Amino acid sequence: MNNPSEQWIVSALRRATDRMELPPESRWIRERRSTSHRSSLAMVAAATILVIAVGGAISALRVEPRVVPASGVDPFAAREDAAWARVRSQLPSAFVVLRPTWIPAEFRGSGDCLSPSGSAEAAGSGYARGAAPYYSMDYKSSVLAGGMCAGFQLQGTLSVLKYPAPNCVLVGTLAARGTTVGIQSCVGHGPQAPAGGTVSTGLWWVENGATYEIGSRDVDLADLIRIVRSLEPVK
Amino acid sequence: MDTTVERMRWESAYRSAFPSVYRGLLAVGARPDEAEDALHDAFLKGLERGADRPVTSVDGWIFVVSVRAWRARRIRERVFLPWTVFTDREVPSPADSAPDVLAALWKLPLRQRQIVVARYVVGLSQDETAQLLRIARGTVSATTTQAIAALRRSMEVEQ
Repeated sequence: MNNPSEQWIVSALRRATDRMELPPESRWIRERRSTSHRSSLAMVAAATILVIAVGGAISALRVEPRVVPASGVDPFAAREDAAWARVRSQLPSAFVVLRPTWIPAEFRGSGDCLSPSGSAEAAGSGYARGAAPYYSMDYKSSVLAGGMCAGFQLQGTLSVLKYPAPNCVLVGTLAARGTTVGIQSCVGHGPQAPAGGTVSTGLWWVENGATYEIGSRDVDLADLIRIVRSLEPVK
Repeated sequence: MDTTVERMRWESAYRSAFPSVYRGLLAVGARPDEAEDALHDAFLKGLERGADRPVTSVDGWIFVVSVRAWRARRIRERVFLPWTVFTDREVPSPADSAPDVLAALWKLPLRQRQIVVARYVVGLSQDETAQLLRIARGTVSATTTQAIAALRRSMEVEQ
């Protein structure tokens, strides 16, 4: 790839794909569904569309005005409240769901990086069959080189897990939340990782019988600790 | 390893890989809805795979598995839903106001598209591409050279 015109083609290709819009992060992972029934579902859907077409046309004539949110509402705060409410509603009440009351200001999302986005699964549902209840919440800021969003992730599961994780080393501990919080440094490898891998920092601890972890490549340790100290149960 | 730990790690790795692989699928020729479905199929396959069979390149593995899922869906739809021939396209049309380089890419054979995208959009090395596609490293190199040359010719003609 020494030819300048070839290099130009490759960089043009990368620029073109970088401009491709990503779907909302809430759609990146879905509940398990059977793909083998997709053809049948498509045929049923087509038949259903035909049946309801007339009714739909009639009701379209009576569409009510669209509800416009009141001005002055912080879209991030509304999205964050909704995301945490959704997570809380999907988990057993015995599982204390912790939510940050402080985050660094830049992690309120951007056009390409929806923030926050969460997922939760109770034991025995979806693809987490047999696993303990679990939730995660991603807070994002902006797109980095390579198309990834800078951010941090908070996770919790109603079980006591072993740490540090594989590819991670324990680098210290601190006292917080009435317990000992472990600090791990992890090296991730992949095509987008620089030579030697990308280094992320994670904090984990056990509280109320659950294990919580917060990790990031983009948030420094001091801010991660501040986030941990700010966590409050979601009612 | 604990099932929950495995899932947490896989979900985190999948989310990191999603942007480049999704864009790679669109560049190869998938529609956005097809790319989402194919990626999700790969996510589930990764969960079923388990930690006892780790993948060396998560992005590459997800890309190859999702391309396979996308192709299988196209074939399945052609067999069971023949009317989709009229609404479906093997590759996106240049009339979609796509940048010239993508229009040129979509004229290449699928194999060439897949290798070019694996190398330059997903970011795999020649060795990773060869290993994941189960072809020789020399084949990756030669196909890449041919594809880039074809892209250059195509774009020169268009200009």
